[in-house]
Order: sequence, then structure tokens, then C-alpha cells
Amino acid sequence: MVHARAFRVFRSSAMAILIAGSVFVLGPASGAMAAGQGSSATQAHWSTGSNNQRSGPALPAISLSGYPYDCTPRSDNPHDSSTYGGVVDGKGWVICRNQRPYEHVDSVLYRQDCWWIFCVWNAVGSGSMTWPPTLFTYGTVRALAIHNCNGSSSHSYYLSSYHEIHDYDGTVWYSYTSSNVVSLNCG
Amino acid sequence: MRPPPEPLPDPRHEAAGRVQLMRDTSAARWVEERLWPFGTGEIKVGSIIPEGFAAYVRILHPAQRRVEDGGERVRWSTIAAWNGQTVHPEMQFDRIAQLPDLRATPAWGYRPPEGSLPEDYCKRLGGELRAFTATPDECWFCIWDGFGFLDPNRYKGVPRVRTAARQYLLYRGPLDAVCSFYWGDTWQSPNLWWPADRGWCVATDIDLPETYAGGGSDAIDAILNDDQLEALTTTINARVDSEADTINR
Repeated sequence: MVHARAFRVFRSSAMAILIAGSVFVLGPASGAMAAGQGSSATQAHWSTGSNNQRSGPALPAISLSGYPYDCTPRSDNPHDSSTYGGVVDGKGWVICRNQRPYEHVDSVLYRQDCWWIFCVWNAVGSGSMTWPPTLFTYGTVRALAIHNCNGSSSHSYYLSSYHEIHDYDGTVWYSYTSSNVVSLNCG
Repeated sequence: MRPPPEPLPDPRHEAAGRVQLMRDTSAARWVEERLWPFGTGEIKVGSIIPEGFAAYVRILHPAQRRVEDGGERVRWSTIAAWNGQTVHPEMQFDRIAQLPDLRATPAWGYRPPEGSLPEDYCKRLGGELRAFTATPDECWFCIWDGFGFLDPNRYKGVPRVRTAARQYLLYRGPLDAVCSFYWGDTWQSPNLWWPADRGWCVATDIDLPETYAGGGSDAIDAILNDDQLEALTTTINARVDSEADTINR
């Protein structure tokens, strides 16, 4: 089953960002954002597409198909880590009240570096997590992206995440979220 | 054609009227003043919960073990015993579970939740601490403002409680409302909460699989003696970072 959804184009752009690792933006540090980046947090729709399929486990179908209202994707703001001194981290999540056979999150942490009026968003950390098929879980997947600070200069950061879940009938749902852009003293 | 943006979930706790979002954050000034800044290496309990209490306790969020007919909670002390590790106030989950890093998942189940108490732990802790405040009807609750389920437009212009490394929304309400914070279906325990008489304070940092409480020795003993909670005595100078565990390898 393939639904025409809004995030096809956005997906292409965001995946390019994930792969390329950096995005050039002309303008001041707080200025325009490229695709996949936002000055405020976003919560995307879930979309479906057969071209998004990853290898998922074969499980018996149960009545958990249809729009996954019970699953919430999100990207939290990057912040100073309390588990690693001198580190900034960001977390992407998908939380489902009903466990799916496959849940996955990719998160990329971006830092903005500026020279005069030229600013670049660089990918400085990434993390992924996949929930295997299980009998019981919290239904929570958390991808952790970490960056070791090199000095204490102020930079803008944000987190971008790709979320994917598989329903028991084989439908693949995907979504993108991004955090707020925040200023942190971490070079 | 793009569908309209999906709204971020509404804060059910605000609509229910039990807690009130505050624009005056002066009630949290003492927290801002008594929290230590984060270090670049070691991070101490004093950066998570305000200094000045007679005693402190570290409450360990339970992990989850897969079993044939579902899942069951498992205490850190049990995991340490499985792996021949030592239980002590600065033990770290990755060390006792013999995991390589914070991204790893144990083969037997799931990591303890970070950044939020389990809901039943929240209720239990609130119940224990009720006896140790004269102001249970006036408590203060801080929620980290960087959670992705918060609609930034809704909270634009709302003053924040500002500590060295975090910013929080501040709510006021009765102690009974401590476990009532929902944005849509997303539940979150407050990251900091205390009664108006400051008889105690509870802190759950967004990165940590544990919660800290400070208070009088009677309040801390009550938590330590609750067999439904796994808790250890700690100090304001104890470390919380991933390298804190110098005993287990």
C-alpha cells in the first residue's frame, strides 16, 4: 500500500543532508534554514511508501494497521550532557503505546559554523537505534547523537531525526522531525 | 499537496486546571542559585539537585527484562549480581550491565528510562514525601523546555527557570498533581519538584536513568526504606557522569 504524502520531497532533501553532512546557508547565524532544519521544533506526519522498506521481521498480522496515532516521533533539543562532561548530545525518539515489529530512529546533530556572512551546518554527531521484535517493551526507541566539545565558543545546534515503524500488515510508516535551534557554548 | 501541519499535543494537565503555568519564576530562584554548574569532566550530584539539604538519595530507575509471557522489571542490584559487579552509590548502568556505551541495549532486555521517573515510581515517591512537608497543597514543578513534544509557539515568551545547563517551564500545583503532566499521550515526570516550604526537592535530569532527592534525614530514610523503590544513599559531591564508576570495569 502506497500513500501519496507530503514528506516525499522533504524526505529526499533530508536524506541528502544526512548523507552530505553539511549544508551551506548564506546569511547570519540565526538566519535562513535549509531543508530539514527549523528554527522551532516540528512534529511530522507519518507517511508511508513501499520504497522505504527495510528488511523487517515476518510476524503474524494483528489489527494494528492504519495511521499510527499511537506512535509519537520527536527530536529533543541538543543540550549539555550530564553523562559525559564537555559533550553536547541530542536525542531522537519514537514512542509507541502499542509495540510494532520494527521501530527505528536515525538522528543527526548539526552545528552551525560561520565565517563573516557565510554559515555552514555541519553534522557533528549521529546515532541510530532499532528495536528488535520482542514480546514486550516500553515501545520506546531512542537514538543518541553525541559531539565532544572542542573549546567553549558559542554555536547554534539542532537535531534532525528520521523515524520509521513497520506495522504488522507490512505497512511502513516514516516521519521526520527536527528540534529547535539552540545556542550552546561548545565548539 | 502537503497536508496542514499536525499540531503538537496539548498539555492536558494545564487544561485540567490542577497545575498552573507560571510567568513569575521567582519561586525557583533558590534552585537557580544552589545548583552547581556542569563540569567539563566530572559532573556532580550538586549540578543535578540543589545543595543545602541534610541528606540525599539516588533512586535507580528499573531496567526491563524480556521474559516469555511479557516483561518484568529488574533492579540494578540484580543486574550487578548477574555480572559479578559491585553495588555502590556511584555505580553506572553501563558498567554493571557490561555494556560498551550509552547507545547499547542489553541482550536480555531494555535500558532503564532516562529523563523521567516511571509513572508508578513517581506516585510512590510523591506518597512517601507527602509526610515531610507542611505545604502539600503548594508545590512547584519544573519541566525541561527542550522536549520535542512541547509546542514552542505555546510557550513563546513564557519566562524560564534558568540553571547553568538547563531551562525549565515552571508550574505550581498540589503535590497530588506531580504525576499528572501529559502532552497528548506523552507522559513526563517533572525534572525538578519541591514543596513551597522546601522540605525536600526531587530532580530527574534529562540524561540520567536515575532520580535524586534531597531533604531531611527522615524523608530520605523513608525513601530508602520503601521496598518498592531501589535507592541508595548519596552525597552532594558524588559523581553522576558515565566515568563515575571507578569500582566496576
